[in-house]
Amino acid sequence: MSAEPRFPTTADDARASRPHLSVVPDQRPEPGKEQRRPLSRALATRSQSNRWRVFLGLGAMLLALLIVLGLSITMASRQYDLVELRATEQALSQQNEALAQEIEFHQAPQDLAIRASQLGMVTSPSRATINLSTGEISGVPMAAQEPSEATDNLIAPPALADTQAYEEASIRAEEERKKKEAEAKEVEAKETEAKASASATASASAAPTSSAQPTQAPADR
Amino acid sequence: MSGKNSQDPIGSIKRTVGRRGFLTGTVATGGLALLGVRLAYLQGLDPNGLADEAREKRMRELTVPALRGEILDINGHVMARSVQRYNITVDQSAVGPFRRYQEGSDEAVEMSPTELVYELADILQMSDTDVKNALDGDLKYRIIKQNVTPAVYNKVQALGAPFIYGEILSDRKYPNGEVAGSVVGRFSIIEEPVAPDSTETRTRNNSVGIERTMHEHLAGSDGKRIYEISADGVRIPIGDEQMTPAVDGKNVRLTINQDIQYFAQQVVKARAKELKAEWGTAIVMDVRDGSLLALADSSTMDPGAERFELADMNSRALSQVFEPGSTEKILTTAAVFEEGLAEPETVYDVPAQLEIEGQTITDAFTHPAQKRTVAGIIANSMNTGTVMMGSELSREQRYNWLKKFGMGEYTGVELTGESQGLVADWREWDIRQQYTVLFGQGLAQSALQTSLIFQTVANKGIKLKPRIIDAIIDTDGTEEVLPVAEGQRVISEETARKTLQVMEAVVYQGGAEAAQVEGYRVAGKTGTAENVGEGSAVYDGWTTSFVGVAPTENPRFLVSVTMHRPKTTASAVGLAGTTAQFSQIMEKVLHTYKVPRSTSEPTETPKFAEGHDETG
Repeated sequence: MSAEPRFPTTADDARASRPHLSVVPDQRPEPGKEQRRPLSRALATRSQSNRWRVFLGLGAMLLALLIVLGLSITMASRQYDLVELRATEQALSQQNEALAQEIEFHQAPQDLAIRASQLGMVTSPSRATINLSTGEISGVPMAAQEPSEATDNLIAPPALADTQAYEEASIRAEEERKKKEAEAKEVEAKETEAKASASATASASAAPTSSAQPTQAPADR
Repeated sequence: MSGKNSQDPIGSIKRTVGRRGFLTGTVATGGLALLGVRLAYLQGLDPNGLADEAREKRMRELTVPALRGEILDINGHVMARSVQRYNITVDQSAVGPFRRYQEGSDEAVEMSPTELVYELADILQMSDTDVKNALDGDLKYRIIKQNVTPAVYNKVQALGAPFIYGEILSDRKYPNGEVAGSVVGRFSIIEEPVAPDSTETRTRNNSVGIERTMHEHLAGSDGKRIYEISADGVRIPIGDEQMTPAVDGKNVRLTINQDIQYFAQQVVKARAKELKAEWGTAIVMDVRDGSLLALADSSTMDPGAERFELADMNSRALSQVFEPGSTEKILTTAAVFEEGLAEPETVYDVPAQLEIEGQTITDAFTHPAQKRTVAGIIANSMNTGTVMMGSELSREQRYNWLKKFGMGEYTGVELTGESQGLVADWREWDIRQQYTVLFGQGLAQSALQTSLIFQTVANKGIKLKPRIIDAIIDTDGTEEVLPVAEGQRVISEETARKTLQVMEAVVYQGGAEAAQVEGYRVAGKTGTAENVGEGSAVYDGWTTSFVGVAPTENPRFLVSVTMHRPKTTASAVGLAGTTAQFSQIMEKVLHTYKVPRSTSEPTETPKFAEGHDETG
């Protein structure tokens, strides 16, 4: 209802349409430059500002799209980087694991013992201590000597390992075993030689030296 | 006001536009509605589960396995660790010529399966025929080789064969093999079907040793990663992702010293071989906190091996019970001292053989009637004298003392396969048993239980629980050192000192001279027990042992060496028994831990009453 007064009445319509129609020819014979200029200017400015807005809008959209595109490209490529880095990480940790294992197998006491004996090392039979506050030495320190009977390594290297260290240890253990066998054969050969010379004393050398001999009657049961 | 009835050009334009709009709108809305319905149908209702299916196709669930913790010795040497291994598998149905791309070039080389067989055989160190056989056939899945290292797997992958796969798995490695194998134990958790043709599975835990008792700490918990992947198998960055991180297992540090363990195993194995014993075992313990430095057996399983003897799975020091024999006399002596019935110098009139309640008690050596002190009785390990001393205790007292020292009770050590031993109730003892328990016959105990008697005496009368776990180490390195369990006072300090004095007489005045260690005072006791063989009902074998501590003036270490059923007679084994082995191991331990030499001489205690000697 409040909008009603804005609408022209029927009479007004008639008038309005008529003057409008009549105004057009009125305006035609008066081509005022001053009148056109503002029109053209207004049109020009209007269209210009609209174009700017459209360009701005389109540009913004394009930019946004480009940003999104860029983002997703980086994200995707980062994803590939991630996969690559994970692979590197895995490779490194596998390498680390393998190396740590090598060390551990090298540290195994049975292998250490064989390696030491192959290098000609022996355990020192004696040890002495020095008291730093008095300078007193207890015990008789002696140079390490070749033990009269070598202590064989009786403990096999760890089974089923797949490290380099394990292979080396197995080879070493095998070497030791072969050496022992050869030694045993040598001893045997010597024995038979001695026996052949029909010496009665020869058999004594074959007697076990370290087996338990009852030095005393058993005192407990 | 009356404008509604008149011709309205604007209105008519509006109407026209409205009409067109209405049509377009209707079509558009209709289409939209159709799409909406379809959308709602697919997305909302989704009766065919298409969305779920699609999602499922994109979703990948990945179990992130927790890394099992390591088992370390007291010095941090690794005794068990988990490693990554692969099974190399093949899809036989896809085997055929394939194109191999050289690195750095786009050129492909055409490869035939035969060429691949030779290459694989070289990498996997298998025979050509084995590889060929594995590749032939039309199975979708077949394992070519199990358990290869990542290095081998990488080489196989580089071959570029699209039908060869690698299956990741975790393997447990035991770098020390047989050294402490029965202590560390073996990790074996098997998933098997409930019934032969059932899809349901159950988990069977066949682990032993520390691997079993400490499983809770070692295991950790698996993590899970759920994510969406694109067609090329790469994760969709903005897709759903759920991540439950894996919690790696904790490391467990034992009290075992692998060098001493190795040495003890060597010594025990050599001696068992020499005596042709069924088995032998050695214990090395720190008497002040009960820490076990070694639990050595004559034969031990290698946890990494495929085959081993069942009997080698657990340490015999705690799994095997036997009649201990004379080592038990130390318990009797300590009980007699504590009850105030005797002193080390108290004299007993020991007859040639003892007649008591119609039972005849004899000694392992013949002797006339003698006037012996307690030290003299124990030094030469006389059954007669021990029964005379011990029978002053009531039967119930004897039983209670056995119980106080923990005989017939689990020690509670964190290992599998422990035996409880057997101490019959005193009311059920037969007429002979009541005396034989005093010198270690007629009851069964493990070497570990027996060593606890000596630990108690050496630790000023306080009995401790044997300790095998030193610390539990978190993944970030935080160490949680397990405290020493509170001990139990069994005998007074004074009694412990006196008992130790008697034990020293065994080594320096008795028959166990071979047990001496140069530079250190040693105290201990031999034991030569009769035993009943498996499936036998008569005493037909022997167990010879020696348990000792050093240095006597302030005992720190205990070593116990036992040989079970040597294939020689008791008299051939004689007193040598395991004393020399004790001495070797003890010397090694004392040197390793740089124990200062003893500064005092061993206490001399008279073995006979004043003015008397062996002749009576």
